[in-house]
Amino acid sequence: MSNLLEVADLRTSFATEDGVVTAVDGVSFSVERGEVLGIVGESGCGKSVTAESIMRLLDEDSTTYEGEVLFDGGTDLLNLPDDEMRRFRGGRLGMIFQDPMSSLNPVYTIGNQLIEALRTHTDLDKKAAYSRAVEMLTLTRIPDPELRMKQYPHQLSGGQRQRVVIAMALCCEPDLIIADEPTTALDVTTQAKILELMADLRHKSDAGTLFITHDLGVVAEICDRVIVMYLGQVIEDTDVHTLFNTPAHPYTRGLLASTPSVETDNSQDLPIIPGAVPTLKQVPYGCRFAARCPFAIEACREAPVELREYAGEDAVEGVGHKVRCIRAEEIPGLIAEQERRGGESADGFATDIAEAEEAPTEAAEHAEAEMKAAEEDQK
Amino acid sequence: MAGYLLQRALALVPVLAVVSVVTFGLIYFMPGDAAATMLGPEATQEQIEALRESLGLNDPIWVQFWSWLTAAVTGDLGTSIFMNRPVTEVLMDALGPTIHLAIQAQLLAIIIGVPAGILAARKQGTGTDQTVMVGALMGISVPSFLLGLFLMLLFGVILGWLPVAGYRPIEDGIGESLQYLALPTIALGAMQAALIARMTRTAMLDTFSKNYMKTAKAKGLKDRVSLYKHALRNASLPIITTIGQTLGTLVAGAAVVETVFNIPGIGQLIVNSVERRDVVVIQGVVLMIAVSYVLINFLVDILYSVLDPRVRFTGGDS
Amino acid sequence: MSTENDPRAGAAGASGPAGKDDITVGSLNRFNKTRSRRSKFLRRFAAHKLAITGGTILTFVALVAIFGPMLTGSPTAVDAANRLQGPSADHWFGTDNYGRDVLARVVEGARVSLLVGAITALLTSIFGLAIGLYAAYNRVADAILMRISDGLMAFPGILLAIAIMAALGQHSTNVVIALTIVFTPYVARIVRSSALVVKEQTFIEALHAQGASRSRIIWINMAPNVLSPMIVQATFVFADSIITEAALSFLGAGVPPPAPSWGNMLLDGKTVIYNAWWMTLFPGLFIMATILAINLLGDGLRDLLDPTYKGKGATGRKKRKAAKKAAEAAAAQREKEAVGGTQPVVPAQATRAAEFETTSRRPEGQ
Repeated sequence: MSNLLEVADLRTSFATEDGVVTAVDGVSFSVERGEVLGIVGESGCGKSVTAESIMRLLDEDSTTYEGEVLFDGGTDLLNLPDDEMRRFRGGRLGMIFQDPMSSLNPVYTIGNQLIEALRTHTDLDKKAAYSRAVEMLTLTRIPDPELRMKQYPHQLSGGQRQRVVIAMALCCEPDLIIADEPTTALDVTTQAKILELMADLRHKSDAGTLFITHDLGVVAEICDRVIVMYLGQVIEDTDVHTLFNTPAHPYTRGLLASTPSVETDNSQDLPIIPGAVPTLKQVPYGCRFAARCPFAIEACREAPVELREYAGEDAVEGVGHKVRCIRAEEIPGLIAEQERRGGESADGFATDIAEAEEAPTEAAEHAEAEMKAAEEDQK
Repeated sequence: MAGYLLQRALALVPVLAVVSVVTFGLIYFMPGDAAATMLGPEATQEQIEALRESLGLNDPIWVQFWSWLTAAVTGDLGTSIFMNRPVTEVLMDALGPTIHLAIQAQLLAIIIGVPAGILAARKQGTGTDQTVMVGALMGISVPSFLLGLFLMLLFGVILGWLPVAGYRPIEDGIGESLQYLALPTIALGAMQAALIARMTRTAMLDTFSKNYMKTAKAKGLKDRVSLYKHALRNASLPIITTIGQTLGTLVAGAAVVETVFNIPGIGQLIVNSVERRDVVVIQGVVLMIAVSYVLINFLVDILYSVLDPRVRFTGGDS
Repeated sequence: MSTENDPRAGAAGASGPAGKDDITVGSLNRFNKTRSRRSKFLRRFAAHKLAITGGTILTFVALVAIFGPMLTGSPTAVDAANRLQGPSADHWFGTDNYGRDVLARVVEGARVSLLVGAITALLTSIFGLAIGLYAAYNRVADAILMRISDGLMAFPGILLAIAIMAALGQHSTNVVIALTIVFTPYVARIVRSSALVVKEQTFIEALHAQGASRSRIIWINMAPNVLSPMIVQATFVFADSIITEAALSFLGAGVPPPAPSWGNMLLDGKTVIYNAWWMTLFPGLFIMATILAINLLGDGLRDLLDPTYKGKGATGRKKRKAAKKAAEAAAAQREKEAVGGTQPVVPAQATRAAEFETTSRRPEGQ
């Protein structure tokens, strides 16, 4: 069976006033029917751009796409003429956006916007579209759907709006749902409810889902497979259990270690990945994470690192575990060594903010200098 | 909604108060004795005294203001010294051509300015955009009376295609009326069109960057639908505000353009009154235009609440 | 309006909660950076073609206004024998209905127009700055001053100017007084709103905490931060006063004859428009060129001084297009390499990193 979505060596570059910035650099992954693939990473790592590249939502004039996005048996979305691509958007590809506050048009009613989506892709007449829209709203468990149809976005709460956005994305029964941080802008309780809704809805169809988030807790809850992105590249690709049980990339380890969980001893401070994500215009030549990595050696900086099969002792058979790190296999040993020497903490990262900041890495210094420069410019 | 309108209506009170104080105060700007200045050097002492008495200049100032204000509210703007006619009557006579010209110019400006602005925004950064923007810059750089003179020179004097002076009301036939008002309308409408085009472009570019435009695209809407249904409706709010805010300037501009083309409207009334220093008439004109400006913008506020549901339902503090 | 497109806005925002200790350091840095910022401003100004064009034309008109009268004859010398002569070697711009040299009058008119415009721009800046800052700082004064300015702004500018002129009488000084009354509210508004923004910023609060005196806070700290928008507004007031002065004089309510001003020359020209096109054309062209120049300069200054206005211009698109072409070329190159199996001589990332030294913009902005 062929994959629902097959992204191969996707490279998305923006022409800015100061030159070309490559936000997504050679990303490959696939999504099967009924599968939820998570894309995880800090903000600025290219995950949203990946999503928007698949939908081709980025400004046509300044964006260059390379590679292939094969949809359902071989249609290359990147090479589709505009009017055919339009039929895919909202039809077989449904997108849920991050910010429900701003992704609905403030001057039209919920009903208007839902019916518009339906009538763009189906032959339903106004009445049928109306009842279908109400049906979709009911499905998202929004209270009093008939009333919502007449209301304007600003009259709804954030959670209700996100339900509307979900209804809008799903109303034409898409084969692929792209959810770009659908819960980030919501408060925690609402977040949980929306996630529960999404988990429910996925069982009602065999659509594949691309779920973008920076929250590993959300990943654990909803995803089947996960890719971790850093600075435009996939740095780890495996199924969700393997990712949580045996993370291979130091960055993934850092992310996991800095996520609080019930099991974590509260008396212990959470470790911190030092520095911030460098910007795309100062991409390092070698390993892109080297500047923030506690295990980086000279070799890491010398040549670009390839994504490869993980072959550590703890590698799980048959799940397919790829990592972009030349030392991935040595790292468990290194950590054990450190701990034996009474060293710092979990997974090689410092727990103390002061400690982490005392030794600012190259990237962090850079980021700081940049911020200062930006401030100067502002004034 | 009612609360919103009440709030907007209450906001008018201080503005109208300032408008009336300034208008009333004009007579006190006059150096020396206002009555003597108005009557000119040949006036006798008795005439001056009589005028002082009739203008109420001998009363305490607040008494004068109060009687002037109460009269103005009831539509009595005093009597023109020179024409010996009630100012309200004189105004009504002169208003027709000015309003006619202003409305025609406004329509022309909207018909040209809005599409030009949309076009420039869609083609942002291209030659088309630059052409529209340079055109708009030229438009706001040529004062309407000067454009009127240039048009008169070209189409009236050199080419002889159109009449250069006079006015025919619509009742005399639309064709003829248009012929006489064509040049003044273009002269007055050009700057307005330029302003509207600039505002439209900015407002459209602003909405283009909004997330709901991305939603519209992700829904698979045609560009045309995204543009006209989603972007333009949102962009129309600042555009309408601009149109409302420039209306006063437009009427004043109409008055200036009228004098270029010898149209017997408010403009000629003002010019003649300035020459005669008939300040009572000028007070009347100024008060009427300022008050209508304030009221028109109140109407724009109402229109706003119709167009923007956020204002309609929340009382719009934004 | 485009701050969300500007990554640097985010960076500055992120540095907000930096703590009060940083503040003095920040202000010191600002002080030290003034010089380099100024040279950077000049460089960017030089790169701004439209602003340069505007500045050049305006300089030319100013030079004409200053030195022209020394070269041309008297603008008021009547020559009955040479009435309404067309342009000739003796009278480049022809003569008017009194036989006066139109060139000499245009040149003298430039002096009057620029002087009236410049003085008005200066006075409105001074009053607008004082009123706007005071309003931003004192709530009671704010309510009163802003209602007054609302009231004044309800009058169309030209109309209020005419009314004031009708009351005061025709005189060049009165023109300046009238225009200053008309335009001060516009400057005061701009100053007030930018001062309100500045006021919220932490360093002013920090100064409060340090017990700095009120007038010191206003004048030393707030004034420089509102100067940029004020200068831009003053430029537009400059243009508007020249237009309004010309209109006033054209209506016979401005600069009184026989002194020439572009406006009253147009009034003279209109009566003889069938016989002497030059009397309308030449002063008209000078008004047009001057206003255009000032508007270009004003737009340019706004681009340069107001960070929220950046990126809306056309030049950005050209650069982006060029960059896109480069990107596509690079893509083709990569493809070829992939086929041919050769390695690039220069590491792609290294060159890319070198190319983007300056700040990038978020691509989603249209």
